[in-house]
Amino acid sequence: MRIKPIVGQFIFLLVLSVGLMFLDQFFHGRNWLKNTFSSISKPVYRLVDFPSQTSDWLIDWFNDRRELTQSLEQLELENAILKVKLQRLQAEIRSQNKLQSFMRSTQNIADEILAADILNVNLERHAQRIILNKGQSDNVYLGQPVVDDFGIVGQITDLSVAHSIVTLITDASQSTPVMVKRNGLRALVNGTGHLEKLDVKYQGAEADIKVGDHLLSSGIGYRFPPGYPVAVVDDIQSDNNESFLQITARPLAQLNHGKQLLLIWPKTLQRTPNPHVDSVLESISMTDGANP
Amino acid sequence: MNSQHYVPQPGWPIHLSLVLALLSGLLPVKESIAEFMPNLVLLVIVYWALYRPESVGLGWAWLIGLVQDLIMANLIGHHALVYVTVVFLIKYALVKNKNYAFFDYMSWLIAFVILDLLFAIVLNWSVQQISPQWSLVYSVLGSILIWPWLYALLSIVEALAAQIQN
Repeated sequence: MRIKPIVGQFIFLLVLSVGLMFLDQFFHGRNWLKNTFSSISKPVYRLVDFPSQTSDWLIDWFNDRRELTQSLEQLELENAILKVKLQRLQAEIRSQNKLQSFMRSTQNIADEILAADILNVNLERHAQRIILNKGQSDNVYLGQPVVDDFGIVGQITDLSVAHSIVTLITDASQSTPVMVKRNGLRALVNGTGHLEKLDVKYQGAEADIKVGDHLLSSGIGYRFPPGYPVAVVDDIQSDNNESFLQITARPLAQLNHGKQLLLIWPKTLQRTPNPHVDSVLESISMTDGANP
Repeated sequence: MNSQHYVPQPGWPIHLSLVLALLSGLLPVKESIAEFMPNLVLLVIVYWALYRPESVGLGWAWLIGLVQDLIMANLIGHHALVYVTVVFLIKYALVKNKNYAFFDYMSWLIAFVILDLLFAIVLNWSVQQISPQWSLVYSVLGSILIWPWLYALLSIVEALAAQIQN
C-alpha cells in the first residue's frame, strides 16, 4: 500500500519540529533563527505595547502642573529619607563586617545599573516572564540579574538586539541561592509559578529559621550578587514524615506592578580598582612588554 | 454554506483571525482571568481546519506554530508540532464526512486542547523539570466556554467575506 502524501508531509514536519526543539534546547540563546526573528517580533511587541504607552503619555499630558509639583515634593522628601536610611545601612554593614558576605555586599553599591522599561506584553498565562526594552545593544547578557527598588526580580533568559526577557524568581524553573539575614544560614529558594509564593528548600527540622526572617541573595553560583533582598519567610510547617521543613516565602520585589526594572552588572566578583596597585601593575606590564 | 457549486472563498478572514489570535496571546490580562485564558491560536486553527479544510495545509499550521514559538520566546518547535498534529488529525481522520453536529466538533476541540496541554506539561517536565500545575486545567474550561462565541464570530466574518466577494 502506498503512503498518502499527507502522511509523508506530516512525518516530515514532525521530525523537523523535534529537530528544532533539540537545536533550541542545546544551542539556547544563540540560535540563528531567534536572532533573525527578533527583527519581526520587535514591531509585534511594540504594537501590543502601544495602547498602554499612549494612555501613559496622555495621562502625563493632562496631569496638571500642581499635581506634578506635588509629586516632585513628595519624591524629594522620599529621596532624603532614603539617603538617611542608606547611611544608616552602610554604618550597620560596616559594624557587622565580621560576616564575609556583608563585607562583599558593601561593594554592591558600586554595581553598574541601567534602568529598563517593562513592555506591557504578556508571554504566558502566569506572566512569569517580562519583556524589557533593553537588549544586546545595551550590553545586556544572558543570566544578568534584574532587580527593582525592593529586591531581586529575576534573570535575563532570552536576548535579542533591542529587547530581553526576564524570567522571574517565582517561575517554577528558577532557584535562587539565599542566606538568612539574621544568621547567614544558607538556603535555596525555588519558584512555584505563583507571583506571591516561593519555596525554601532543604532545611532540616533543626534549622534556625523563623517566620519573618529576611532572605538575601548569597552570591553562591555567581549569578546574583550577594546582599540583595530576595524574600521574607511567610510560613513554616513541619511534617513528621518529611525530613525537611516546608517553608514558604514571599518575594520582596514587586513582581506584578511597576513600569521599570533595573539591570545590574555585578562588580563584586571583580577586583575593586586601587590606584596604587594599578600604577604598579601598569609599570610591570610596561617593562615586561606584555599585555595586561 | 453552499456546497453545490464551489467557489474559492477569500483568505483574508483566515489570516486576519490568526494575526489577532497571535496578538491576543501577548495582551496583558488580570491574573484571575489569565488562568482561564485559552490558547486562541489553537482554537482558530481548529475552526479553519474543520470548516475550511481545503484552504488549510499542514505546512501552514507548522509555520504558524513556529511564529508563535518565536514571538512568545518558547522552545522553538513546540507549538509547530502541536498544530501540525492537530491539523493532520482533522484532515486525515475527521473531515471526510461533513455531516457532523456542532457538539461533535466541540468534543474534538476538547480533545485537541487537552492534547496541547498534555504536550506542554510533558515538555515542561522533561526539559525544565517543572511539575504540572492544576491551574492548567482551567484553560480547558476557558476553551470550552469561548468556543461557541468564537465559532459564531468566525462564521459571521466568513459569511460577510463571501458576501463582499460576490
